Amino acid sequence: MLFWVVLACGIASIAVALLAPLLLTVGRWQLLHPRTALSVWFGAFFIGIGLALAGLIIGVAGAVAASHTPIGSETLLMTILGWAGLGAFGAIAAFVAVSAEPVLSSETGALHSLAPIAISREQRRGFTLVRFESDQPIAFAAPGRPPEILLSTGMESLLPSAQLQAVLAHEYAHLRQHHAWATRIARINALCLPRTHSARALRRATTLLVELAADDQAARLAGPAHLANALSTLAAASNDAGLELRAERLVDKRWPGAVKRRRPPAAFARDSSI
Amino acid sequence: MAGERTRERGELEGEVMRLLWKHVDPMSARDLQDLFTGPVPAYTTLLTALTRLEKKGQVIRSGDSPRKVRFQAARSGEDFTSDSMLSALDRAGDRHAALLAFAGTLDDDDVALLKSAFGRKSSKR
Repeated sequence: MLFWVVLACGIASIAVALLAPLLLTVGRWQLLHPRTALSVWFGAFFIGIGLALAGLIIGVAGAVAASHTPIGSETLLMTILGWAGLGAFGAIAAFVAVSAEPVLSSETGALHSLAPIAISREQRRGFTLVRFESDQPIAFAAPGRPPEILLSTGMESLLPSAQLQAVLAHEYAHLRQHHAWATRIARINALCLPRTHSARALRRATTLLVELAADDQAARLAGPAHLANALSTLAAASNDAGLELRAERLVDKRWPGAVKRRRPPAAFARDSSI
Repeated sequence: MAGERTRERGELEGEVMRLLWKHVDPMSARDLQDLFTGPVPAYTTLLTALTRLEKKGQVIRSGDSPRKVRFQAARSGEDFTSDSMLSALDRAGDRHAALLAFAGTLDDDDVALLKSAFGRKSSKR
């Protein structure tokens, strides 16, 4: 009986891994509701992992229990399955740890190398705004303690205040919604399961959906028109079709009226003292 | 007040690098200390920051005896900034990894997907 439960957990885990990419990429709903889509993707990912772990725990428990019962074909099978599963789990855990190490250390290295180029650091509510000298319009969020949003002088001079506010709101949404963790998990998963369609699909969906989810949150906080205009201005400056299409998506989507929208937090202002 | 933090983490290293970039000739820690316009870091704090920067390959130390030790930037400020930005964004082996950039994160497949869903309006314009 236990053998069939373990088998069912294993099959269900594989089914989730195979079916989730097929079901979650149907239609364009995920592009209109990226945060929900991201939750469903990671929900499916953790359900798959949970089923595999449940199968492993039941298998090991069965193997331990089988050692006290007379040997039959099922008890023999449970013993082999349980201990082989535990061995496989140890190997996978070691592989995940080895794969994760370069991902995490490369992130730390990238953040440390940026520290000396800062021209100013300003403590805002929830993050540190780090300005740096560059003609290129660049903005990005660097999670950590404390979390930072790095902004180039080129970006500040290119965009008017309302649009810059929308850019900061977008980067802040990455920090608040823990998008760095989502991308890390998807990257490590793809490294552990190379050439697997489901791992590639999760990674690809994560890369796109975190951007769209951050766009939506920024549009709610700073106004969709300001964010769409910022994206269009940057698209024109950098000839980036992706930015223009993100702006199109914002225009296509329905938003609550300006009256219902709250005033953007002061933390996203060009000058926080204003 | 002793023990009070006057700078954010990493800020002192940034200030030291900017001072070294302004002066091409190698400088001692005492010379550097004199150049600070804001709060002047303690001599030992400054040496710690310089040692950290040396380990990162951003500063070159010269001179054998402690009194003659001089420091200079390994690369010019312009080189360092452009290299750092590009490599920091690319180094993690992903398009944005830990650094969630505002632009340039979507690849051709993402752009094609967005175009199939939302590209209709742009073609009308």
